Amino acid sequence: MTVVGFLLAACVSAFKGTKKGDLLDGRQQLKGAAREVHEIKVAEEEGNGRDLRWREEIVPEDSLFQDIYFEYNRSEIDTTVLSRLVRMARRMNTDKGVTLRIEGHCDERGSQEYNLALGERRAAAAALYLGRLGVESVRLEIISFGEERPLDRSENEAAYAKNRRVHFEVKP
Amino acid sequence: MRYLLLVAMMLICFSSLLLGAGEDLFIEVESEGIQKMEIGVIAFQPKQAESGPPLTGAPWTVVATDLRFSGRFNVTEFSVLDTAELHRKNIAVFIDGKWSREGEKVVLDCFVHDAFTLSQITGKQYSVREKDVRRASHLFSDEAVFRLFGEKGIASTRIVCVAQFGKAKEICIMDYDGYNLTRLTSNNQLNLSPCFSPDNKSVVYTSYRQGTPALYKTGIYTGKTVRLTTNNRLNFSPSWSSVDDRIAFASTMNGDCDIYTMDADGGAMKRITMGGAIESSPCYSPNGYEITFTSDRTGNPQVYIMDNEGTHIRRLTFEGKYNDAPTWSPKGDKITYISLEKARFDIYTVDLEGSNVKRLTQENGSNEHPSFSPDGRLLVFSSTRAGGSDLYLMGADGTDQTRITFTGNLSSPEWSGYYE
Repeated sequence: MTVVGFLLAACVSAFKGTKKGDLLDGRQQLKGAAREVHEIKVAEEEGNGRDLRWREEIVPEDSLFQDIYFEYNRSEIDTTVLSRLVRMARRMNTDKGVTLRIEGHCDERGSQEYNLALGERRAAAAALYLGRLGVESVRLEIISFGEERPLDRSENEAAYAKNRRVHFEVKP
Repeated sequence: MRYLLLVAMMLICFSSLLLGAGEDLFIEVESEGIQKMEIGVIAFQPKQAESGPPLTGAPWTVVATDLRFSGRFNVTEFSVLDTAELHRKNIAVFIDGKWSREGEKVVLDCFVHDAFTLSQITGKQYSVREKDVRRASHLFSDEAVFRLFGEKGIASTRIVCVAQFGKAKEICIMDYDGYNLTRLTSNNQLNLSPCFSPDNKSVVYTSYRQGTPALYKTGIYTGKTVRLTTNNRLNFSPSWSSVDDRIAFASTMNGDCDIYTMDADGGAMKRITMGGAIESSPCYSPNGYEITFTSDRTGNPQVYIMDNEGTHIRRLTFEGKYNDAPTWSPKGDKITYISLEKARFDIYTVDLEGSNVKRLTQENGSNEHPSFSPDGRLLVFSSTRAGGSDLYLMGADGTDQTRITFTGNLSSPEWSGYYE
Protein backbone atom coordinates (compact mmCIF):
# COMPACT_ATOMS: atom_id res chain seq x y z
CA MET A 1 0.00 0.00 0.00
CA THR A 2 2.76 2.43 0.88
CA VAL A 3 4.54 1.41 -2.28
CA VAL A 4 1.45 2.29 -4.31
CA GLY A 5 1.11 5.58 -2.48
CA PHE A 6 4.75 6.43 -3.10
CA LEU A 7 4.58 5.62 -6.79
CA LEU A 8 1.31 7.55 -7.13
CA ALA A 9 2.85 10.59 -5.53
CA ALA A 10 5.81 10.30 -7.91
CA CYS A 11 3.43 10.01 -10.83
CA VAL A 12 1.42 13.05 -9.79
CA SER A 13 4.53 15.22 -9.52
CA ALA A 14 5.79 13.91 -12.89
CA PHE A 15 2.55 14.96 -14.59
CA LYS A 16 2.33 18.38 -12.94
CA GLY A 17 1.39 21.04 -15.42
CA THR A 18 -0.37 18.72 -17.86
CA LYS A 19 -4.08 18.79 -18.56
CA LYS A 20 -6.59 17.06 -16.31
CA GLY A 21 -7.40 14.32 -18.85
CA ASP A 22 -3.74 13.49 -19.35
CA LEU A 23 -3.15 13.26 -15.64
CA LEU A 24 -5.94 10.71 -15.30
CA ASP A 25 -4.57 8.57 -18.13
CA GLY A 26 -1.08 8.67 -16.66
CA ARG A 27 -2.36 7.69 -13.22
CA GLN A 28 -4.21 4.73 -14.68
CA GLN A 29 -1.12 3.53 -16.55
CA LEU A 30 1.15 3.87 -13.58
CA LYS A 31 -1.41 2.35 -11.25
CA GLY A 32 -1.11 -0.85 -13.23
CA ALA A 33 2.66 -0.79 -13.07
CA ALA A 34 2.65 0.05 -9.39
CA ARG A 35 0.40 -2.86 -8.62
CA GLU A 36 2.81 -5.26 -10.28
CA VAL A 37 5.78 -3.86 -8.37
CA HIS A 38 3.79 -4.07 -5.15
CA GLU A 39 2.83 -7.67 -5.75
CA ILE A 40 6.39 -8.68 -6.42
CA LYS A 41 7.45 -7.06 -3.19
CA VAL A 42 4.70 -8.75 -1.17
CA ALA A 43 5.58 -12.10 -2.69
CA GLU A 44 9.22 -11.63 -1.70
CA GLU A 45 8.30 -10.67 1.85
CA GLU A 46 5.97 -13.62 2.24
CA GLY A 47 8.48 -15.92 0.63
CA ASN A 48 10.95 -15.11 3.39
CA GLY A 49 8.49 -16.48 5.95
CA ARG A 50 8.79 -16.24 9.69
CA ASP A 51 10.76 -18.83 11.58
CA LEU A 52 8.44 -21.12 13.47
CA ARG A 53 10.05 -23.37 15.98
CA TRP A 54 8.13 -26.19 17.59
CA ARG A 55 8.30 -24.89 21.15
CA GLU A 56 7.79 -28.20 22.79
CA GLU A 57 8.07 -28.12 26.53
CA ILE A 58 10.55 -30.50 28.05
CA VAL A 59 9.04 -32.22 31.05
CA PRO A 60 10.78 -34.94 33.01
CA GLU A 61 8.81 -38.11 33.60
CA ASP A 62 8.26 -37.48 37.33
CA SER A 63 6.51 -34.14 36.75
CA LEU A 64 4.45 -35.36 33.84
CA PHE A 65 1.22 -34.45 35.63
CA GLN A 66 2.11 -30.86 36.44
CA ASP A 67 -0.46 -28.10 35.72
CA ILE A 68 -1.28 -26.90 32.23
CA TYR A 69 -2.15 -23.26 31.61
CA PHE A 70 -4.71 -21.39 29.51
CA GLU A 71 -5.28 -18.05 27.82
CA TYR A 72 -7.70 -15.58 29.47
CA ASN A 73 -11.32 -16.71 29.03
CA ARG A 74 -10.25 -19.62 26.77
CA SER A 75 -10.34 -23.36 27.25
CA GLU A 76 -8.28 -24.55 24.25
CA ILE A 77 -5.27 -26.74 25.13
CA ASP A 78 -2.02 -25.13 24.05
CA THR A 79 -0.23 -27.09 21.29
CA THR A 80 2.96 -27.13 23.33
CA VAL A 81 1.48 -29.46 25.93
CA LEU A 82 -0.12 -31.91 23.51
CA SER A 83 2.87 -34.23 23.53
CA ARG A 84 2.77 -34.27 27.32
CA LEU A 85 -0.88 -35.28 27.20
CA VAL A 86 0.14 -38.15 24.91
CA ARG A 87 2.74 -39.26 27.48
CA MET A 88 0.18 -38.86 30.28
CA ALA A 89 -2.27 -41.02 28.37
CA ARG A 90 0.43 -43.64 27.80
CA ARG A 91 1.18 -43.69 31.52
CA MET A 92 -2.53 -43.98 32.33
CA ASN A 93 -2.91 -46.80 29.83
CA THR A 94 -0.03 -48.82 31.28
CA ASP A 95 -0.90 -48.22 34.93
CA LYS A 96 -4.54 -49.27 34.89
CA GLY A 97 -4.89 -49.14 38.66
CA VAL A 98 -4.96 -45.35 38.96
CA THR A 99 -7.61 -42.75 38.25
CA LEU A 100 -6.97 -39.14 37.36
CA ARG A 101 -8.73 -36.19 38.96
CA ILE A 102 -8.71 -33.19 36.58
CA GLU A 103 -9.38 -29.85 38.29
CA GLY A 104 -10.25 -26.75 36.24
CA HIS A 105 -9.36 -23.33 37.66
CA CYS A 106 -9.79 -19.72 36.53
CA ASP A 107 -8.31 -16.34 37.37
CA GLU A 108 -10.45 -13.88 39.32
CA ARG A 109 -11.22 -11.67 36.34
CA GLY A 110 -14.64 -13.06 35.65
CA SER A 111 -17.87 -13.66 37.45
CA GLN A 112 -17.94 -16.45 39.99
CA GLU A 113 -20.64 -18.41 38.19
CA TYR A 114 -19.31 -18.11 34.66
CA ASN A 115 -15.88 -19.08 35.95
CA LEU A 116 -17.29 -22.28 37.44
CA ALA A 117 -18.49 -23.24 33.96
CA LEU A 118 -15.22 -22.11 32.36
CA GLY A 119 -13.12 -24.15 34.80
CA GLU A 120 -15.24 -27.18 34.02
CA ARG A 121 -14.75 -26.56 30.30
CA ARG A 122 -10.96 -26.45 30.77
CA ALA A 123 -10.95 -29.70 32.73
CA ALA A 124 -13.26 -31.26 30.13
CA ALA A 125 -10.91 -30.17 27.31
CA ALA A 126 -8.01 -32.02 28.97
CA ALA A 127 -10.23 -35.04 29.66
CA LEU A 128 -11.37 -35.08 26.03
CA TYR A 129 -7.77 -35.35 24.79
CA LEU A 130 -6.92 -38.09 27.25
CA GLY A 131 -10.12 -39.91 26.33
CA ARG A 132 -9.29 -39.76 22.61
CA LEU A 133 -5.89 -41.21 23.48
CA GLY A 134 -7.53 -44.27 24.96
CA VAL A 135 -7.99 -43.48 28.66
CA GLU A 136 -11.36 -44.81 29.86
CA SER A 137 -13.69 -41.95 30.84
CA VAL A 138 -14.58 -43.66 34.14
CA ARG A 139 -10.96 -43.17 35.21
CA LEU A 140 -11.12 -39.45 34.50
CA GLU A 141 -12.78 -37.39 37.21
CA ILE A 142 -13.62 -33.81 36.20
CA ILE A 143 -14.19 -31.06 38.76
CA SER A 144 -14.28 -27.28 38.50
CA PHE A 145 -13.29 -24.87 41.25
CA GLY A 146 -13.88 -21.73 39.16
CA GLU A 147 -12.02 -18.86 40.78
CA GLU A 148 -12.29 -20.32 44.29
CA ARG A 149 -8.80 -21.85 44.60
CA PRO A 150 -6.25 -19.37 43.21
CA LEU A 151 -2.56 -20.26 43.54
CA ASP A 152 -1.60 -16.62 43.72
CA ARG A 153 -3.98 -13.99 45.11
CA SER A 154 -2.10 -10.92 43.81
CA GLU A 155 -3.75 -8.80 41.14
CA ASN A 156 -1.35 -8.91 38.21
CA GLU A 157 -1.03 -10.72 34.88
CA ALA A 158 1.62 -13.14 36.19
CA ALA A 159 -0.65 -14.24 39.03
CA TYR A 160 -3.69 -14.48 36.74
CA ALA A 161 -1.70 -16.64 34.31
CA LYS A 162 -0.68 -18.96 37.14
CA ASN A 163 -4.31 -19.32 38.26
CA ARG A 164 -5.75 -20.17 34.82
CA ARG A 165 -4.84 -23.82 35.01
CA VAL A 166 -5.86 -27.43 34.94
CA HIS A 167 -4.44 -29.37 37.86
CA PHE A 168 -4.00 -33.15 37.73
CA GLU A 169 -4.12 -35.44 40.68
CA VAL A 170 -3.27 -39.12 40.23
CA LYS A 171 -5.33 -41.18 42.64
CA PRO A 172 -4.45 -44.81 43.33
CA MET B 1 -74.74 6.95 26.40
CA ARG B 2 -76.96 4.34 27.96
CA TYR B 3 -74.02 1.93 28.15
CA LEU B 4 -71.90 4.59 29.80
CA LEU B 5 -74.56 5.14 32.43
CA LEU B 6 -74.79 1.40 33.00
CA VAL B 7 -71.03 1.10 33.40
CA ALA B 8 -70.96 4.07 35.77
CA MET B 9 -73.69 2.55 37.91
CA MET B 10 -71.92 -0.79 37.99
CA LEU B 11 -68.72 0.95 39.05
CA ILE B 12 -70.52 2.75 41.87
CA CYS B 13 -72.12 -0.49 43.04
CA PHE B 14 -68.80 -2.28 42.87
CA SER B 15 -66.85 0.36 44.77
CA SER B 16 -69.52 0.63 47.46
CA LEU B 17 -69.33 -3.15 47.80
CA LEU B 18 -65.61 -2.88 48.27
CA LEU B 19 -65.93 -0.08 50.80
CA GLY B 20 -68.69 -2.00 52.53
CA ALA B 21 -66.25 -4.85 53.04
CA GLY B 22 -64.09 -2.47 55.06
CA GLU B 23 -61.20 -2.67 52.60
CA ASP B 24 -58.55 0.06 52.83
CA LEU B 25 -57.87 1.62 49.47
CA PHE B 26 -54.46 3.05 48.81
CA ILE B 27 -53.11 4.78 45.76
CA GLU B 28 -49.40 4.95 45.25
CA VAL B 29 -48.05 7.72 43.07
CA GLU B 30 -44.71 6.87 41.59
CA SER B 31 -42.53 9.44 39.88
CA GLU B 32 -38.93 10.52 39.83
CA GLY B 33 -38.03 12.97 42.56
CA ILE B 34 -41.29 12.65 44.48
CA GLN B 35 -41.13 14.35 47.86
CA LYS B 36 -40.41 12.04 50.75
CA MET B 37 -42.67 12.05 53.78
CA GLU B 38 -41.31 13.98 56.75
CA ILE B 39 -41.41 11.80 59.85
CA GLY B 40 -40.14 12.24 63.39
CA VAL B 41 -38.84 9.36 65.51
CA ILE B 42 -38.93 10.03 69.25
CA ALA B 43 -36.69 8.02 71.59
CA PHE B 44 -38.84 5.43 73.42
CA GLN B 45 -39.35 6.14 77.10
CA PRO B 46 -39.29 3.58 79.93
CA LYS B 47 -42.86 2.82 81.04
CA GLN B 48 -42.10 3.02 84.77
CA ALA B 49 -39.32 4.90 86.48
CA GLU B 50 -37.65 1.57 87.32
CA SER B 51 -37.84 -0.41 84.10
CA GLY B 52 -34.52 -2.03 84.87
CA PRO B 53 -31.19 -1.68 83.02
CA PRO B 54 -31.30 0.31 79.76
CA LEU B 55 -32.09 -1.64 76.57
CA THR B 56 -29.04 -3.08 74.75
CA GLY B 57 -30.37 -2.13 71.33
CA ALA B 58 -32.32 1.11 71.01
CA PRO B 59 -35.40 0.02 69.01
CA TRP B 60 -36.21 3.59 67.93
CA THR B 61 -32.85 3.98 66.14
CA VAL B 62 -33.51 0.66 64.38
CA VAL B 63 -36.89 2.01 63.26
CA ALA B 64 -35.31 5.31 62.14
CA THR B 65 -32.69 3.43 60.05
CA ASP B 66 -35.38 1.18 58.55
CA LEU B 67 -37.48 4.16 57.54
CA ARG B 68 -34.43 5.79 55.89
CA PHE B 69 -33.58 2.56 54.01
CA SER B 70 -37.19 2.30 52.83
CA GLY B 71 -36.57 5.35 50.64
CA ARG B 72 -39.96 6.85 51.52
CA PHE B 73 -39.13 9.16 54.44
CA ASN B 74 -37.02 12.07 55.59
CA VAL B 75 -36.37 10.99 59.16
CA THR B 76 -35.61 13.37 62.02
CA GLU B 77 -34.75 11.87 65.40
CA PHE B 78 -35.74 13.50 68.68
CA SER B 79 -34.85 12.58 72.24
CA VAL B 80 -38.17 13.91 73.63
CA LEU B 81 -41.54 14.77 72.13
CA ASP B 82 -41.90 18.49 71.35
CA THR B 83 -44.93 19.04 69.11
CA ALA B 84 -44.09 22.72 68.55
CA GLU B 85 -40.70 21.69 67.16
CA LEU B 86 -42.39 19.07 64.97
CA HIS B 87 -44.76 21.72 63.58
CA ARG B 88 -41.88 24.12 62.93
CA LYS B 89 -40.14 21.41 60.89
CA ASN B 90 -43.34 20.56 58.98
CA ILE B 91 -43.38 17.06 60.36
CA ALA B 92 -46.92 15.70 60.24
CA VAL B 93 -46.31 12.19 61.53
CA PHE B 94 -44.16 10.87 64.34
CA ILE B 95 -43.28 7.54 65.90
CA ASP B 96 -42.95 7.13 69.64
CA GLY B 97 -43.15 4.35 72.16
CA LYS B 98 -42.59 2.96 75.60
CA TRP B 99 -40.55 0.02 76.84
CA SER B 100 -40.57 -2.06 79.97
CA ARG B 101 -39.39 -5.43 81.25
CA GLU B 102 -41.60 -8.32 82.27
CA GLY B 103 -39.42 -11.11 83.58
CA GLU B 104 -37.12 -12.25 80.76
CA LYS B 105 -39.15 -10.37 78.15
CA VAL B 106 -38.91 -6.82 76.91
CA VAL B 107 -42.28 -5.24 76.17
CA LEU B 108 -42.39 -2.57 73.47
CA ASP B 109 -45.44 -0.35 72.90
CA CYS B 110 -44.92 1.36 69.53
CA PHE B 111 -47.11 4.04 67.95
CA VAL B 112 -47.45 6.12 64.83
CA HIS B 113 -49.13 9.46 65.71
CA ASP B 114 -50.49 12.37 63.73
CA ALA B 115 -48.44 15.37 64.92
CA PHE B 116 -51.33 17.86 64.59
CA THR B 117 -54.33 16.00 65.99
CA LEU B 118 -52.11 13.68 68.13
CA SER B 119 -54.47 10.88 67.11
CA GLN B 120 -53.04 7.41 66.79
CA ILE B 121 -52.50 6.07 63.26
CA THR B 122 -51.40 2.65 64.46
CA GLY B 123 -50.08 1.01 67.59
CA LYS B 124 -48.47 -2.38 68.25
CA GLN B 125 -47.21 -4.18 71.34
CA TYR B 126 -44.32 -6.63 71.10
CA SER B 127 -43.23 -8.89 73.95
CA VAL B 128 -39.86 -10.34 72.98
CA ARG B 129 -36.56 -11.64 74.35
CA GLU B 130 -34.00 -8.87 74.62
CA LYS B 131 -32.01 -10.24 71.67
CA ASP B 132 -35.13 -10.06 69.48
CA VAL B 133 -35.70 -6.34 70.05
CA ARG B 134 -34.23 -5.60 66.60
CA ARG B 135 -36.66 -8.06 65.01
CA ALA B 136 -39.63 -6.42 66.75
CA SER B 137 -38.38 -3.00 65.63
CA HIS B 138 -38.18 -4.21 62.01
CA LEU B 139 -41.72 -5.57 62.24
CA PHE B 140 -42.97 -2.22 63.53
CA SER B 141 -41.13 -0.35 60.74
CA ASP B 142 -43.02 -2.50 58.23
CA GLU B 143 -46.29 -1.81 60.08
CA ALA B 144 -45.62 1.95 59.83
CA VAL B 145 -44.82 1.71 56.09
CA PHE B 146 -47.97 -0.34 55.52
CA ARG B 147 -50.21 2.06 57.45
CA LEU B 148 -48.78 5.16 55.76
CA PHE B 149 -48.23 3.86 52.21
CA GLY B 150 -50.35 0.74 51.89
CA GLU B 151 -47.41 -1.36 50.74
CA LYS B 152 -45.48 -4.09 52.49
CA GLY B 153 -42.16 -2.97 53.92
CA ILE B 154 -38.85 -4.79 53.60
CA ALA B 155 -37.47 -4.19 57.11
CA SER B 156 -38.38 -7.74 58.17
CA THR B 157 -36.76 -9.38 55.12
CA ARG B 158 -33.44 -11.23 55.11
CA ILE B 159 -30.45 -11.75 52.87
CA VAL B 160 -28.63 -15.02 52.23
CA CYS B 161 -24.95 -14.81 51.25
CA VAL B 162 -21.62 -16.63 51.15
CA ALA B 163 -18.98 -16.05 53.84
CA GLN B 164 -15.37 -17.07 53.39
CA PHE B 165 -13.53 -18.70 56.30
CA GLY B 166 -10.00 -19.60 55.21
CA LYS B 167 -10.34 -21.94 52.24
CA ALA B 168 -13.95 -22.76 53.06
CA LYS B 169 -17.03 -20.81 52.06
CA GLU B 170 -20.22 -21.21 54.08
CA ILE B 171 -23.81 -20.13 53.42
CA CYS B 172 -24.96 -17.44 55.87
CA ILE B 173 -28.22 -15.64 56.47
CA MET B 174 -28.68 -12.19 57.96
CA ASP B 175 -31.19 -9.38 58.44
CA TYR B 176 -31.55 -7.05 55.45
CA ASP B 177 -29.53 -4.38 57.30
CA GLY B 178 -26.49 -6.65 57.84
CA TYR B 179 -27.19 -7.59 61.47
CA ASN B 180 -27.52 -11.10 62.95
CA LEU B 181 -25.21 -12.90 60.52
CA THR B 182 -25.87 -16.61 61.12
CA ARG B 183 -24.19 -19.64 59.56
CA LEU B 184 -26.51 -22.01 57.75
CA THR B 185 -23.79 -24.51 56.74
CA SER B 186 -20.63 -25.47 58.57
CA ASN B 187 -19.07 -28.31 56.58
CA ASN B 188 -15.71 -26.58 55.99
CA GLN B 189 -16.03 -27.03 52.21
CA LEU B 190 -17.00 -24.76 49.35
CA ASN B 191 -20.66 -23.70 49.48
CA LEU B 192 -21.74 -21.28 46.74
CA SER B 193 -24.58 -19.43 44.94
CA PRO B 194 -27.42 -19.63 47.50
CA CYS B 195 -31.05 -18.75 46.72
CA PHE B 196 -34.18 -18.61 48.90
CA SER B 197 -37.22 -20.79 48.42
CA PRO B 198 -40.35 -18.71 47.65
CA ASP B 199 -41.58 -19.25 51.25
CA ASN B 200 -38.20 -18.07 52.68
CA LYS B 201 -38.03 -21.29 54.71
CA SER B 202 -35.19 -23.01 52.90
CA VAL B 203 -32.11 -22.18 50.86
CA VAL B 204 -30.84 -23.99 47.75
CA TYR B 205 -27.12 -23.78 47.02
CA THR B 206 -24.11 -25.52 45.50
CA SER B 207 -21.91 -27.47 47.88
CA TYR B 208 -18.72 -29.51 47.47
CA ARG B 209 -19.45 -31.30 50.76
CA GLN B 210 -19.52 -34.74 49.09
CA GLY B 211 -16.62 -34.03 46.74
CA THR B 212 -18.35 -32.79 43.62
CA PRO B 213 -20.39 -29.58 43.26
CA ALA B 214 -24.05 -30.64 43.68
CA LEU B 215 -27.20 -28.73 44.62
CA TYR B 216 -28.48 -29.07 48.19
CA LYS B 217 -31.50 -27.72 50.03
CA THR B 218 -31.26 -26.76 53.70
CA GLY B 219 -34.24 -25.84 55.88
CA ILE B 220 -33.47 -22.58 57.69
CA TYR B 221 -35.53 -23.49 60.76
CA THR B 222 -35.06 -27.27 60.69
CA GLY B 223 -31.40 -27.41 59.61
CA LYS B 224 -32.35 -30.47 57.53
CA THR B 225 -30.25 -30.83 54.37
CA VAL B 226 -31.29 -32.76 51.24
CA ARG B 227 -29.17 -33.39 48.15
CA LEU B 228 -31.16 -32.47 45.01
CA THR B 229 -28.86 -33.41 42.10
CA THR B 230 -27.32 -36.88 41.88
CA ASN B 231 -24.80 -36.48 39.03
CA ASN B 232 -21.10 -36.00 39.86
CA ARG B 233 -20.52 -33.03 37.58
CA LEU B 234 -21.02 -29.30 38.14
CA ASN B 235 -24.47 -28.03 39.28
CA PHE B 236 -24.86 -24.40 40.27
CA SER B 237 -26.73 -21.04 40.28
CA PRO B 238 -30.24 -22.16 41.26
CA SER B 239 -33.33 -19.96 40.87
CA TRP B 240 -36.62 -21.04 42.46
CA SER B 241 -39.87 -20.11 40.72
CA SER B 242 -42.66 -19.10 43.09
CA VAL B 243 -45.27 -19.85 40.44
CA ASP B 244 -44.80 -23.54 39.59
CA ASP B 245 -42.29 -24.41 42.35
CA ARG B 246 -39.56 -25.47 39.92
CA ILE B 247 -35.85 -24.81 40.30
CA ALA B 248 -33.83 -23.67 37.29
CA PHE B 249 -30.06 -24.23 37.47
CA ALA B 250 -26.96 -24.67 35.34
CA SER B 251 -25.29 -28.06 35.02
CA THR B 252 -22.65 -29.86 32.99
CA MET B 253 -24.27 -33.27 33.56
CA ASN B 254 -24.45 -33.89 29.80
CA GLY B 255 -21.06 -32.38 28.92
CA ASP B 256 -21.64 -28.75 28.08
CA CYS B 257 -22.91 -26.25 30.61
CA ASP B 258 -26.65 -25.94 30.01
CA ILE B 259 -29.75 -24.84 31.90
CA TYR B 260 -32.08 -27.41 33.43
CA THR B 261 -35.25 -27.20 35.49
CA MET B 262 -36.45 -29.64 38.14
CA ASP B 263 -39.07 -29.96 40.84
CA ALA B 264 -38.23 -28.63 44.29
CA ASP B 265 -37.36 -32.18 45.43
CA GLY B 266 -35.00 -32.82 42.50
CA GLY B 267 -37.49 -34.82 40.41
CA ALA B 268 -38.83 -34.31 36.85
CA MET B 269 -35.55 -32.91 35.55
CA LYS B 270 -35.68 -31.29 32.14
CA ARG B 271 -32.93 -29.82 29.96
CA ILE B 272 -34.03 -26.53 28.39
CA THR B 273 -30.95 -25.22 26.54
CA MET B 274 -28.88 -27.08 23.95
CA GLY B 275 -25.65 -26.51 22.11
CA GLY B 276 -21.97 -26.25 22.89
CA ALA B 277 -21.88 -22.79 24.49
CA ILE B 278 -21.87 -22.11 28.24
CA GLU B 279 -25.41 -21.32 29.41
CA SER B 280 -25.58 -20.38 33.09
CA SER B 281 -26.98 -18.09 35.80
CA PRO B 282 -30.70 -18.62 35.15
CA CYS B 283 -33.21 -16.42 36.99
CA TYR B 284 -37.00 -16.75 36.72
CA SER B 285 -39.18 -13.77 35.88
CA PRO B 286 -41.63 -12.89 38.69
CA ASN B 287 -44.51 -14.48 36.74
CA GLY B 288 -42.47 -17.65 36.14
CA TYR B 289 -43.00 -17.64 32.36
CA GLU B 290 -39.53 -16.51 31.37
CA ILE B 291 -35.92 -17.04 32.39
CA THR B 292 -33.04 -14.61 31.99
CA PHE B 293 -29.62 -16.24 31.70
CA THR B 294 -26.04 -15.84 30.51
CA SER B 295 -24.71 -17.45 27.34
CA ASP B 296 -21.36 -17.19 25.57
CA ARG B 297 -22.74 -18.44 22.23
CA THR B 298 -21.38 -15.33 20.51
CA GLY B 299 -17.89 -15.83 21.94
CA ASN B 300 -18.28 -13.90 25.17
CA PRO B 301 -20.87 -13.97 27.96
CA GLN B 302 -24.00 -11.90 27.32
CA VAL B 303 -27.45 -11.75 28.92
CA TYR B 304 -30.41 -13.41 27.19
CA ILE B 305 -34.11 -14.06 27.88
CA MET B 306 -36.05 -17.20 26.96
CA ASP B 307 -39.35 -18.68 28.02
CA ASN B 308 -39.32 -21.36 30.72
CA GLU B 309 -39.38 -24.15 28.10
CA GLY B 310 -36.16 -22.89 26.54
CA THR B 311 -37.70 -21.41 23.39
CA HIS B 312 -38.00 -17.81 22.11
CA ILE B 313 -34.42 -16.95 23.01
CA ARG B 314 -33.50 -13.29 22.53
CA ARG B 315 -30.37 -11.37 23.39
CA LEU B 316 -30.74 -8.53 25.88
CA THR B 317 -27.28 -6.94 26.25
CA PHE B 318 -25.16 -5.65 23.39
CA GLU B 319 -22.85 -3.24 25.20
CA GLY B 320 -19.73 -4.58 26.89
CA LYS B 321 -17.76 -7.76 26.25
CA TYR B 322 -18.58 -9.64 29.46
CA ASN B 323 -22.05 -9.45 31.03
CA ASP B 324 -23.31 -11.91 33.62
CA ALA B 325 -25.38 -12.51 36.78
CA PRO B 326 -28.77 -11.26 35.49
CA THR B 327 -31.60 -10.95 38.02
CA TRP B 328 -35.19 -9.93 37.42
CA SER B 329 -36.81 -7.05 39.30
CA PRO B 330 -39.87 -8.08 41.39
CA LYS B 331 -42.17 -5.98 39.19
CA GLY B 332 -40.70 -7.69 36.14
CA ASP B 333 -39.96 -4.43 34.33
CA LYS B 334 -36.16 -4.55 34.35
CA ILE B 335 -33.15 -6.78 34.76
CA THR B 336 -30.00 -6.01 36.68
CA TYR B 337 -26.66 -7.54 35.66
CA ILE B 338 -22.92 -7.02 35.97
CA SER B 339 -20.51 -5.96 33.26
CA LEU B 340 -16.74 -6.43 33.27
CA GLU B 341 -14.45 -3.56 32.42
CA LYS B 342 -10.72 -3.42 33.22
CA ALA B 343 -10.88 -6.54 35.44
CA ARG B 344 -13.66 -5.01 37.57
CA PHE B 345 -17.41 -5.48 37.52
CA ASP B 346 -20.04 -2.78 37.69
CA ILE B 347 -23.78 -3.06 38.12
CA TYR B 348 -26.25 -2.07 35.41
CA THR B 349 -30.00 -2.23 34.84
CA VAL B 350 -31.72 -2.66 31.48
CA ASP B 351 -35.38 -2.86 30.52
CA LEU B 352 -36.85 -5.90 28.79
CA GLU B 353 -36.43 -4.44 25.31
CA GLY B 354 -32.69 -4.15 25.91
CA SER B 355 -32.90 -0.36 25.97
CA ASN B 356 -32.48 2.14 28.81
CA VAL B 357 -29.14 0.73 29.99
CA LYS B 358 -28.25 2.44 33.28
CA ARG B 359 -24.93 2.14 35.08
CA LEU B 360 -25.39 2.10 38.86
CA THR B 361 -21.81 1.75 40.16
CA GLN B 362 -18.64 3.38 38.94
CA GLU B 363 -14.91 3.40 39.72
CA ASN B 364 -15.38 1.91 43.15
CA GLY B 365 -13.88 -1.58 43.40
CA SER B 366 -15.51 -4.60 41.81
CA ASN B 367 -19.28 -4.65 42.30
CA GLU B 368 -21.01 -7.98 41.84
CA HIS B 369 -24.09 -10.09 42.28
CA PRO B 370 -26.92 -7.53 42.56
CA SER B 371 -30.27 -8.72 43.93
CA PHE B 372 -33.50 -6.73 44.26
CA SER B 373 -35.42 -6.19 47.51
CA PRO B 374 -38.93 -7.68 47.27
CA ASP B 375 -40.43 -4.21 46.77
CA GLY B 376 -37.97 -3.50 43.95
CA ARG B 377 -36.79 -0.25 45.55
CA LEU B 378 -33.36 -1.42 46.72
CA LEU B 379 -30.51 -3.60 45.50
CA VAL B 380 -28.04 -5.53 47.63
CA PHE B 381 -24.64 -6.26 46.08
CA SER B 382 -21.10 -7.16 47.04
CA SER B 383 -18.26 -4.72 46.51
CA THR B 384 -14.50 -4.72 47.05
CA ARG B 385 -14.38 -0.90 47.30
CA ALA B 386 -13.20 -1.04 50.92
CA GLY B 387 -10.64 -3.83 50.43
CA GLY B 388 -12.31 -7.13 51.30
CA SER B 389 -15.64 -8.15 49.85
CA ASP B 390 -18.56 -6.67 51.79
CA LEU B 391 -22.27 -6.17 51.19
CA TYR B 392 -23.88 -2.84 50.30
CA LEU B 393 -27.40 -1.55 49.73
CA MET B 394 -28.39 1.07 47.18
CA GLY B 395 -31.53 2.46 45.62
CA ALA B 396 -32.61 0.68 42.43
CA ASP B 397 -31.37 3.79 40.59
CA GLY B 398 -27.90 3.60 42.19
CA THR B 399 -28.45 6.29 44.84
CA ASP B 400 -27.49 6.11 48.54
CA GLN B 401 -24.91 3.32 48.37
CA THR B 402 -24.57 2.17 51.99
CA ARG B 403 -22.20 -0.42 53.43
CA ILE B 404 -24.04 -2.90 55.66
CA THR B 405 -21.33 -5.45 56.57
CA PHE B 406 -17.80 -4.94 57.84
CA THR B 407 -16.21 -8.39 57.99
CA GLY B 408 -14.63 -8.30 54.52
CA ASN B 409 -15.50 -11.92 53.65
CA LEU B 410 -19.07 -11.79 52.27
CA SER B 411 -20.26 -12.26 48.68
CA SER B 412 -23.13 -13.56 46.49
CA PRO B 413 -26.06 -11.90 48.35
CA GLU B 414 -29.63 -12.86 47.46
CA TRP B 415 -32.61 -11.04 48.92
CA SER B 416 -35.52 -13.05 50.38
CA GLY B 417 -39.15 -12.44 49.53
CA TYR B 418 -41.55 -10.73 51.95
CA TYR B 419 -41.99 -12.31 55.37
CA GLU B 420 -45.70 -12.70 56.11
